[in-house]
Amino acid sequence: MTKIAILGIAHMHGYSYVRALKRMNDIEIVGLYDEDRSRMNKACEDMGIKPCEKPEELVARSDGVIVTSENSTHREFVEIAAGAGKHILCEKPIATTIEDAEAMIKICRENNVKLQIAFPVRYSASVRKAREIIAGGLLGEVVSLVGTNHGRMPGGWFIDPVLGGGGAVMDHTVHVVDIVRWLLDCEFTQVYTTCGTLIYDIPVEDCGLEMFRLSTGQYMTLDCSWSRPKAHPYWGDVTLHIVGTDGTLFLDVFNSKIEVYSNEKGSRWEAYGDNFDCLLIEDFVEVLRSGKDPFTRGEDGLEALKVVDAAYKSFREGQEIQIC
Amino acid sequence: MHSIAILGAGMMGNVHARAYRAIDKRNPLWIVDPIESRAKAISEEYGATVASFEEILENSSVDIVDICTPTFTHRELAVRALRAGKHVFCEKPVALTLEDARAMDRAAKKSGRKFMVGHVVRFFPQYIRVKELAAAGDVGEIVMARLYRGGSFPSHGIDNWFADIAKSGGVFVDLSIHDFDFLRKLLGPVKTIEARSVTLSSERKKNSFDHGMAILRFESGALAHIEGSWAEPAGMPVNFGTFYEFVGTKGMITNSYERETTLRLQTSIDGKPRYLQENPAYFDPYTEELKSFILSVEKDREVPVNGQEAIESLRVALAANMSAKLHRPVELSEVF
Repeated sequence: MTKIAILGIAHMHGYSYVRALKRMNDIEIVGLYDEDRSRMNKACEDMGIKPCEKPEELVARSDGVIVTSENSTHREFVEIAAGAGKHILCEKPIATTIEDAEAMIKICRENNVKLQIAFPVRYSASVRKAREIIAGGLLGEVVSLVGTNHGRMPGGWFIDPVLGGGGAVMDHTVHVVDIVRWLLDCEFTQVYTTCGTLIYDIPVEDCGLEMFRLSTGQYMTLDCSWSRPKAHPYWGDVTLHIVGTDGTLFLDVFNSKIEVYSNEKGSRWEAYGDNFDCLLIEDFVEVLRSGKDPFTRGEDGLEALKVVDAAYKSFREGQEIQIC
Repeated sequence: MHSIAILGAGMMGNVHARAYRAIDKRNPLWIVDPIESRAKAISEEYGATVASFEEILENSSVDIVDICTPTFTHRELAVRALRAGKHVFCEKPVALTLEDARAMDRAAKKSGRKFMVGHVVRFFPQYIRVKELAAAGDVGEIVMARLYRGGSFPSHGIDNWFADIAKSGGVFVDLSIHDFDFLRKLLGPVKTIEARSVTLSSERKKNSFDHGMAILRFESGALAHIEGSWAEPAGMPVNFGTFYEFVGTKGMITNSYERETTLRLQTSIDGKPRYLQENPAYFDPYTEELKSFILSVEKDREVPVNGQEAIESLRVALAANMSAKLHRPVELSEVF
């Protein structure tokens, strides 16, 4: 039996990870801790798991820990888990500051603990196939890329500048950065960002456009906006248009959907494709059972966060910024 | 009754000849092209008379000159036609430099003749609807836009002139200018542009190939992403397409060529597979555009897209080229 503790349920992905775990054999969710007691109790009731008042106690009883607290509080929970020698799956972005992210990676390394970052998109079969296509030379030489990660405005702590660490740029830059780093075996070397609070009356930006330069020479744009209206039948997208000298490839990784038109509930699209959260969780459980390295590691989380950090600096200064 | 001379018997010359015939079957049409066979083809298909440019200039019965030649030839042809007292319709982009475009606009003002530039996207119904919906406020104030326009490389150009950036201006000036023009009318003046194009930005230059990406910030604070592409391989079943997404404070509007198809054909005759994905319609935006020009001539009123409008749209495209060349964001005010 593999025992897993959940620290923090601020991020709704925590619910999705618990659902994924419940579909697997020989898994026990030992309990959930959240510093917001009413949020903790409600989540435990919803998901049929046990609340626990002390994170240290919960960690001691587990083989592995999932951190789905607010972005800015990832570090404190990772430190508790790493200190107890437990492997960790941490929600993205890894943290809200590079200092926190580096400290998290360091403490995990010192305690010989694996740190996995929740970049579920990299687990998509379409993304894996795209990597094979690029490596096989079917596009010729890749010369430019256009990405989107649209979503709805999430509200709650996501729009709190401290807890979320920013707005749409913080929330939606890292997924596409992560898959491109993996697809092209590259790093992001430069960023220009323009963004704004254009749609909602909130304290963080809801729209953003970024221009990157990659270590492999290409330029790439990314639209990271929370620009899907509530009226839209789907939550958003992750797309990537890859242009090569001999061909082009278009990824729309969440596009496996059925369209539902209900007189009672309005219209909506429902995903039927692979559940990337399940694939992510399966990898994490494999990390716990075999001690293998996770597919998406803490270092990947740090590299993506460096891009975000430079993106905000670029917007403040109105120019391109080198990513160090 | 108008007597209309089309300069250039290439792709656009054909499109315009068809449109003029749809407007009026009896108007005298003239066709000018250095390649005899191309002029002859239009002459036979649309009942046009083959002539030289000089003959057109000297022929006082010709009142309209329609320029469908490669961009780098526009200035000279337009200025000479205007000086000869002709009304001039000129395909987009108006010219390759602001200096050329301004010379054309000045010649038009001096002549007192009508001068219109073919920003035909303003006449496409799926774009007209966006403007109507924006005005009606259905999605609130539009604050963000994404537009794609592209396909395979336009290899139909004579001497492959599209591949020469000195003659075509590249993908921003020749193709994305449609979207720059539309956005300018929808969202107002552009403030800052950050853009890259493969031809202008990369050391790995390749002829007959370009892909451009531009991030725009408008004076109003609105943002836009423009992608223009000549990067799709030749010979694909669908060789051109557009996409747009307009986000407002209360909703969004989107349209994609991949989804809005009314006719699809898959066939194989004698082992030759053929695929068609189209949206046939009787409404022709080019006909609407040229009709509006002729009406402006007849009623002596302002044309829908005058020289000044075309100059402003060219400025945005040139700013994109400048940013792509210098690898830095460019303020529109730097391009003058």
